[in-house]
Amino acid sequence: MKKNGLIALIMLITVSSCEMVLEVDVPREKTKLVANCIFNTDSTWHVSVFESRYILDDYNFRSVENAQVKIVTETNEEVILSHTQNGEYTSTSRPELNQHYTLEISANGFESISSVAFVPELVPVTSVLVDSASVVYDESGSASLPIEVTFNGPGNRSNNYEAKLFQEIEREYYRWDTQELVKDTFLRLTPLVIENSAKDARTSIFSDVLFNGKQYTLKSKIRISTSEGSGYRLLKATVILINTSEEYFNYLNSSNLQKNTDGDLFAQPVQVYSNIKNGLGIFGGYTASSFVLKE
Amino acid sequence: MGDDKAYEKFKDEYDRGGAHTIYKDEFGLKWGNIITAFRWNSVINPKLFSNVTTTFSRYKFNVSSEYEITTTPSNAGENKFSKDEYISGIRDWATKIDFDYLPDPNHYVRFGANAIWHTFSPGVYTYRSDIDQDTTLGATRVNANELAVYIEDDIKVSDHLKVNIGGHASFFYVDNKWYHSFQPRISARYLLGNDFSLKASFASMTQFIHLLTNAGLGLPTDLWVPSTAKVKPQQADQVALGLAKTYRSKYEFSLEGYYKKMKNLIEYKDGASFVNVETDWQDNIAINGKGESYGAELLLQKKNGKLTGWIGYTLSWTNRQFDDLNFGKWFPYKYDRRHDVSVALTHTWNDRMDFSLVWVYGTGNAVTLPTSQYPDNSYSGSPNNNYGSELNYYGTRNDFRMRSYHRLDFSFSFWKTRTWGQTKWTVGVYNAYSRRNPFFMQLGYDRHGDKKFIQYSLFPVIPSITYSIKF
Repeated sequence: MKKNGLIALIMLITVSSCEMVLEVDVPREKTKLVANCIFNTDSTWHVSVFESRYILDDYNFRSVENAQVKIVTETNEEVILSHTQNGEYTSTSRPELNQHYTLEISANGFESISSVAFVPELVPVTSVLVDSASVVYDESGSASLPIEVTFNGPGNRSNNYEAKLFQEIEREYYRWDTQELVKDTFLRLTPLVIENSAKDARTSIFSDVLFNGKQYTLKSKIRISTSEGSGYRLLKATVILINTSEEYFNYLNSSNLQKNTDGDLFAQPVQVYSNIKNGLGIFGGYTASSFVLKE
Repeated sequence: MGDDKAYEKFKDEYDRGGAHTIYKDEFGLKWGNIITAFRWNSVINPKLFSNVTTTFSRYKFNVSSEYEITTTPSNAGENKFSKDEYISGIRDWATKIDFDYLPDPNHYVRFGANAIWHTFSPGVYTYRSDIDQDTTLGATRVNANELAVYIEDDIKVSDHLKVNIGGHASFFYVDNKWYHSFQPRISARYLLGNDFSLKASFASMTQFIHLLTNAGLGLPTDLWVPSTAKVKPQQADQVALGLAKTYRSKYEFSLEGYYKKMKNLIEYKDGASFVNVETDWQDNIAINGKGESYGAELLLQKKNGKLTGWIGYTLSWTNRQFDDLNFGKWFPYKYDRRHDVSVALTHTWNDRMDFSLVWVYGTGNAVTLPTSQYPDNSYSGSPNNNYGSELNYYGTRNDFRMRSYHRLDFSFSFWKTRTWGQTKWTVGVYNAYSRRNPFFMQLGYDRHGDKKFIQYSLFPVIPSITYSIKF
C-alpha cells in the first residue's frame, strides 16, 4: 500500500509539473507618435500621423488629429499642413528636386518628433527591350517574357532603386448574379524582380553599389498569361523606375523583410529602419520615371 | 551519449460516410551527443610521461514536422503523408598526444600535438511525401582539418613566484584555404605569506568553430558552423587578475576579474531563417563582428571534512557589435549572463552513504522582443475602417531578458563493497521544486482571446533511480 502511495505521489508531482505554458509580462512603454510620409515632386505634401500601440494591445491604430505638422525647407520656409481626416495632414505645395526637408510634428501627450529627408534626382529609363520570342513558363504554367530595362546611374552619389510594372488591363466577364456581360478596366502594379544581381536576388529594390555612375541594364520577367483567362486584354504597360532616397530604401528593405518572415518561428527578428527622431515611421523622398511599353 | 527530444503530437479519428479516417501530426526538436574516447598512458622514463587519446564525437540537431492521413477503405477518402526534416551537426575524429616532462624540481614542461578531422553539416533539409520522392536540399557538407601543437613550462622562479609561459600554434584547412595562428599565453602566481596568493594571466585564443544562435523568441537553434574561406576564425585575447586565500587548510576563497576582447564573430542577419536551405548558411550571417566580455568570479570551496563542495558566483557582461546589425550599435550577446550562481555540496555520513545537492541560478537569456506595433506607410483610414499593414517595433537587439534559470537537484547514494568490486544505488530528483525554466517564447492568445507572450518550458521535476557496478 505504501509502495502504491509513493508511485501515485510521484505520478501526481510529475503530471502536475508538466504544465508547460506560462504567461510572461512585458513592460508597457509609453506610446509614440508615428509619422509616415513618402514624398515626390509630382504630389503635394501628405503626412499620416498615428499613435503606436503596446504589443499586447489589439485595437486598431488610433490616428492623431490634434497635431501641429510642418515642413521646413532648406531656406527655413515653413509649410504648415492641415488635418483633413483620420490623421491625414496635407498642404497644396509640393517638394522640389534635390532639396532637403525637415518634418516637425508635435501633439499633446506625446514627445515631439522630427526628421530630415531628401528628394533625389530623376533617373530616366533610356530603353526597354521585351524579347517576345522567348516565352518562359514557370512551375505553375504561367508564361512570362524576358524584359531588359536600361538607365544611366548618376555618379555624384550612391543611389537606390525600385522597379515596377504598371499595367492597365481590360476585362470582359459575366456577372454571376445577372449573367450580364460586363466590360471594364483595372490597374495592376507589380514589382519587377531583378534576376541579374546575386546580392539583391528576388527583390525589385536594389542599390547601385556595383554600377554607380555607369549605364545599367536590369533584367527581369513580365507575366503575360495568368489564370484570369482569355477575357483579359492588356491596354497599356509602363515600366516605372523609382530613385529612392537612402532613408526610404532602408525602410522599404527592412519593412518588406519583416513582413516576409512574419510567423516563421526560426526566422530572426527584423528591426525596421526609421529616421523619425523620438518616434516611429518614415520620412523619405523619391522620384519616379516611366517608360511606356504599350499603348 | 544521450539524446533529448521535445515534440508536440496530435491525433484525431473520425467516421464519415462509412469510412474511418485517422489524422496524425507531429512536430519535434531533437538534439544529442555521442562521445567515445580511448586513452593510453605511458611512463617513458622517470622524467617523461605520455598520454595518447583518440576520440570520436557527434553532435546532431534535428527539427522535423510530419503529418499523415489514413482512410479505410483506402478509396473512400484521403490517404496522404508528408515529412520535412532539417538536420544539422558535427562529426569529429580526433587524436592527440600529450607529454609531461619534469627535467628538475623548478620546471614542469607540458607539450603535445593534436589533430581533428571535422565533418560539418550546417543544414540538410529532406522532404518526403506521398506525391514527391525523397528530396534533399542544402546538403552542403564541409570537411575541415585542424592541427595544433603546444608547449608550456611551469617555472618555479622563487619560493613565492611561479610563472607559466607557453604558446599554442594551430592550423585549420577548409575550402582549400589554410588558416594559422600563434597564441602566446602567460600566467603568474605570487605567494604573499603561506595562505594568500595573487594571480595574473594573459591568453590569446583562436577558435575555428563558431556558435550560431537564434536572437528571437523562437525555438532555440544553436548551430556549430566552421570557419570557411568567407568566415574567418574567431580570435580572443583575455587578461585576468585574481587573488586566493586559504583558511585553516579547509576553506579556499578566490576572487578573479577578467576582460576579454573578441573579433571575427558571427551572428544571424535580420530575417535569416536557419531552415532556409535554399540560401547558403554563409549568406544568412553577419560576419566580422566585435565582442567584449568582462566580469568577476567569486569562489568559496571546502575541500575536506564530512561536508565538501563549493559556492561560486560570477558577475559578467558580454556584448557584441556588427556593422550590419542593430544599426551598428553594441548589443548584449544572447548568453550574456549578468548573474551566475552555483552551489554544489556533498555530505558523506560514512563509507556507505552520501548526499549531494546542486543548485544553479543564471540570469535569463537575452532575446529580441517586439515591444510595440505601428502602422506602415500604406496604412490609412479610421479605427473602424482601415487598410494597410502593421510593423513590429523591436528596441535594441537582445534587450529583453527571459525568466531566470534556476534548478535544484539532489541525490542519495548507497554503496556496497563486494569482493569483486563495488555496487551503488543512487536515488535522485532533478529540478526538485519543478521550476518552469524558459525554453522558448511565442506571441499568442490565451483562452480569453487576450494577446499574450507565452513561455514554453521543458523538464519539470524528474525522479531517478540509478544502479551502477564498478569492477
